[in-house]
Formats: sequence, C-alpha cells, structure tokens
Amino acid sequence: MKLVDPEKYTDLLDAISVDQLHSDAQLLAYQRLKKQKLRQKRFIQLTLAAAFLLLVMIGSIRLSPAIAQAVAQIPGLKPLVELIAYDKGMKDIVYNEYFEPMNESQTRNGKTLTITGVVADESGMMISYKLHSNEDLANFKSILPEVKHNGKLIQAAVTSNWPAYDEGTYEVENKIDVVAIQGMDYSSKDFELQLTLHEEPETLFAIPFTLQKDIQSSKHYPINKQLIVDGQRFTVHELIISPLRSELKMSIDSSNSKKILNFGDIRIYDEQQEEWGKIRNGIVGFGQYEDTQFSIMLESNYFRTPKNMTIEFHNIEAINKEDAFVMIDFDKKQVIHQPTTIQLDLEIKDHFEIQYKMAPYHKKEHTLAFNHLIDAEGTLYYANLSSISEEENFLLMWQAFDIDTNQKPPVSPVKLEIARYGQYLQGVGRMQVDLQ
Amino acid sequence: MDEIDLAKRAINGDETAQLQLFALYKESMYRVAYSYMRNEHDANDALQEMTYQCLKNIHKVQSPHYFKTWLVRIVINTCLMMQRQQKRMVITDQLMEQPQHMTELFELNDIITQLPTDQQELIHLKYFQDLKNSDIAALHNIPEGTVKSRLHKTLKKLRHLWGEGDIS
Repeated sequence: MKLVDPEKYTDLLDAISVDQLHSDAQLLAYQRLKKQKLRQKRFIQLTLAAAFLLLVMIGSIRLSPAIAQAVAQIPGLKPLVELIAYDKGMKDIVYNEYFEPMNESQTRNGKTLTITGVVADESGMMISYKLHSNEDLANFKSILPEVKHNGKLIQAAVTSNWPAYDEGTYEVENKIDVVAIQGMDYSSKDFELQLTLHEEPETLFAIPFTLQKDIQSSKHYPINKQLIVDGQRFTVHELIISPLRSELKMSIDSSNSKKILNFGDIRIYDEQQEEWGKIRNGIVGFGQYEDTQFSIMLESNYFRTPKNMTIEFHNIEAINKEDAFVMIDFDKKQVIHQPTTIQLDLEIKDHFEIQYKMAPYHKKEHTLAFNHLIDAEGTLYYANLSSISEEENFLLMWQAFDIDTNQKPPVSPVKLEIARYGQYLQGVGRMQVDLQ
Repeated sequence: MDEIDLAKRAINGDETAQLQLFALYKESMYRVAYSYMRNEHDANDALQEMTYQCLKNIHKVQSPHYFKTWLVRIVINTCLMMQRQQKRMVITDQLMEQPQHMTELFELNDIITQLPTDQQELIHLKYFQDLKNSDIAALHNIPEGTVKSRLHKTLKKLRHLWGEGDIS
C-alpha cells in the first residue's frame, strides 16, 4: 500500500500535454453564444409581434360571411380574410385590385414556401405566403422573415406571427408585414424574401420576387394644428395616407404638466360621419411619446378620398409628471422614490429583476406598470422578459431588463418609468382635416 | 493590466476582456477537463462547453474577486456533467494504453470525484491559483480558520481514500 501526497495531483495535472488542445475551442464557444443570443433576441421580437396580432383577434369581425367566403376563394387572399374584416383599408385594397397575386416558391428539406401575393406601397409591404411541410408544423417554434433589396436587408421592421399551431398541421397560410418608417425604395422592383424556420437544423428559404404593379404614391397632408385636452397640448404635424396604412406624425408639448402615456383610442370620421378608421393593430407606432416627433399608424382610406376627415382622440391616458416614475437602487435593493398615488409593493430582486403587485385598472387588463428603465448614466433598458400571474385581488408582475443589448448592467439609481396608470384626460381632442 | 481589472471588465460585458481572460486559463481548464474526461477529444469538448457556460453566465459574478471560485465551480460542474453523459455511452477506446503517470492521475481523479463537489472545487481552486488561505476565506466568505480546517479535512479524507484505494 502506498500513501501518496495529494499535492502530487497538481504536479500530475501540470504534466498533461497541451499539444492536442484545440486553440479555437474557446472561440467556438463564443460563436455559439453569439448565435444563441441573436436567436433569443429575434424570438422576443417575434413574440412581441405575435402579442400585437393577438390584440387584432379581439377586434370584432364586421365582414359578412358571404364576402369572407368570396374573398377566401381568391388565391393568396386567405390570410387576409380576417384582416379585411377589421381593417377597411385592407378591404379597399382587395376591391381596388391593388393586391398583386404571385406564385413564387422554393422547396427546402421537404418543405415548400410559396409567396402567394404582395401589397406594396411607400409605407411598406404585406407579403402573404403558404407553407407546406412534410413535418408537423406544431414542432416549429418560430420563423424569422427578412426582406432583401439590391442585395441588402431593407431598412424596415419586418414582422410576422407564428402561433402555436395544433398538432397535425402540415400547411399554413399567413402574412408578413413590412413597415418602413423612412419609406420604401422602389428604384428596382426586384426583392427577395428570406424566411428561416426555427428548428435544428434550420431551414432557410430565399425566394426572389418582382413587383409588376405601379406603386401608388402616398398622399401627404400637412396639418400643423395644436390640440388642447384638459390643459395638455399636443400637435398633429402631418397625415400621410398610403394604401396599407395612414400615419399621423405628432409631437407633445414639453411644457405640459402631465405626461401622456397612451393614445389608446383614435377615431377617424369622413364628411358623412361614417366612422372610417381607428388605430391599426400590428405595429401601432414608431418612436416614444417623449421624442420630438412620433408616429401613430391608423387604418387607411386611400382609395376613398373623402372630402374631409375628422380625427378624434379619446381616452388619452396621462399621469402627473412628478408621479410618472419610480426610482430604485438595485445595489442596495431600495426604493428611493415612489409616487404616493401608486400602490405597487415593489420588491427588488437579484440580477436586475423586479416584482410587484398591482390591481388591474380595468377588467381583464393585463398590462405591466413599466416598459423600460433609465439608469443613472441615462442608458435605456427595455424590459425584455415579463410575467403576470393572477392572484385573488391583484396581479403579481415580474420583469427583467435587457442587459445584453447595452452590454453593461444598469448603474443605480435607476428610474422606472410608469407606462400604465388608468387615468385619462377629461374631454376629447377633435380636429378636422380638409383633404381636397 | 492585472487579472482583477480584466475580470472586472469581463463581468461588465467587455467581450475582448472576456476572451482574454478565458484564454489566460485555457490550459488549466483543459488540464482539469482532461483529468476528468481522460482523452483529448472529450477534454476539448469540455473546454468548449465550460467556456460557453462561463461566457453565458459571467454577468452574474458579483465581484471580480469572486471570479476564480466561480470559474472553478463551472469547470468542475461541466466536467461532472459531461462525465455522466460519457458514462451513458459505450466506452471502447478508453482503455488505450496510457503512460504510467497518467494512470496515476486518473486513479487520483477517481478518488477526488468521490468527494463532495465543494471539496473538489477547493482542490482545484488550489491548483488554479496558489491562493493564500486568507484569499480563499474571502472568496468563500468564511473565516480563515475554517478554510484551514476544511482543507485539512479534505486532505485527510483524500489520504484516507487513497490508502483504502490500495494503490501500489
């Protein structure tokens, strides 16, 4: 029996040759993580897009079954039926034959993707597609659509939804939305749709398509009118009407005593007092209300050209500016400032996570108190992970903030900006716009 | 720049610092992996996996001073996890002839593997850096005397296991 000093272990370790050590083993790990992070980020973006589309489903369906049936017969239009039902602009696109049917397809790994049609205007595109698969589509977690023009990805938000399909789904029809706030470039009408199906291994489709129809120009109406509701001022600068959507360019007066949290209910009437449009679901806007200018997307009445339009702002959610934030310190796990008007029971957790209790402002309301935080150095961190669970008398909410994008943890104290308050300005903002 | 500064930058998300830092420990990580995995191929796989876990979780390290303990913990846990996976596979080429000193290493590692994970960490922490006992105490947030007695206990246990192991 031999007694060996365990210190010998260290010497033996040192005796291991590193000749066979792969010099790129660590680099491979780094690349793997990068790829993983990119996927997660995209997945979150897709989940957000899906959440918006879920809102869409709540809207009532106003289309008669007969029309829905008729529209569904037109190739490529099936994904639009629900859209036509709630979006008058979409209905007009179909009736005015602005929808461009296509039949471009590609088969990869036993799956066939077909572009069935496109609606293109200066504000963006809507691409409808059909996906036929040899595998159950319920197994796929998400898709990632991208659009290329002149060999480069276009400068636009490209979104789609991928619901949890029922088991035994082998063919789906759906659509991809492209919203280009800077406008689309149609110097060449050749585009390419890239679509990645997420699974292991991934399936990547790349289908070129060419637009044949002339692109209808957007109509620009400068407005530059200020509205005062409950003493709070905001300005509507311009209305831009395109076939797919209308865009209201607006700004809020920085001297207001209240901070506007949400323009949740905007209605448009034509001169016949027919309610024409409302906030368009999907991408509802660009920019933050604090920005010098931001945009709100509305349904389009492009093909109608009414004489004039009345725009009404109802239920403008607002909060006193001094009550509009909660200040916390993540290091000391302390709430530094919290407005007395808000009950939160805020708990500060490790890894820059927060948990709080809130009574819902409305029935069936599941909105979080915060969208983002601003740290002591002025860096913005979005809440990228959130959960809401229903308890007996309150909602228990948990939020984590996206550290990866900024590549540094937030510096305390941080400001959590209130996003929901449930209090509205008194009155309705109303303005008439002459379109002739 | 010293290691603490490098660790600080790495924890704060500086990717260059992260890569530099892990490159610094690459050989030690590989050697410990080899001691557990017993062949170059699996040791390289383990090195990749532990680096991945490190990069993924480095933002959770509370202070650069805790970096090394944290690193060793990930190294050991990855090795143990991969060892479990390895055991599920049929081992055929594992019984290749090894030089005498490697046989000795693996036998010693067999004994170390029988220790609780925190004691395995302690041994490897000693290897990763010839840390003073006071440093280990600070890292583990325990009194220095406790470290000494723990180390002593570990060494005693090792000697005991080694003795019982009938290695001659």
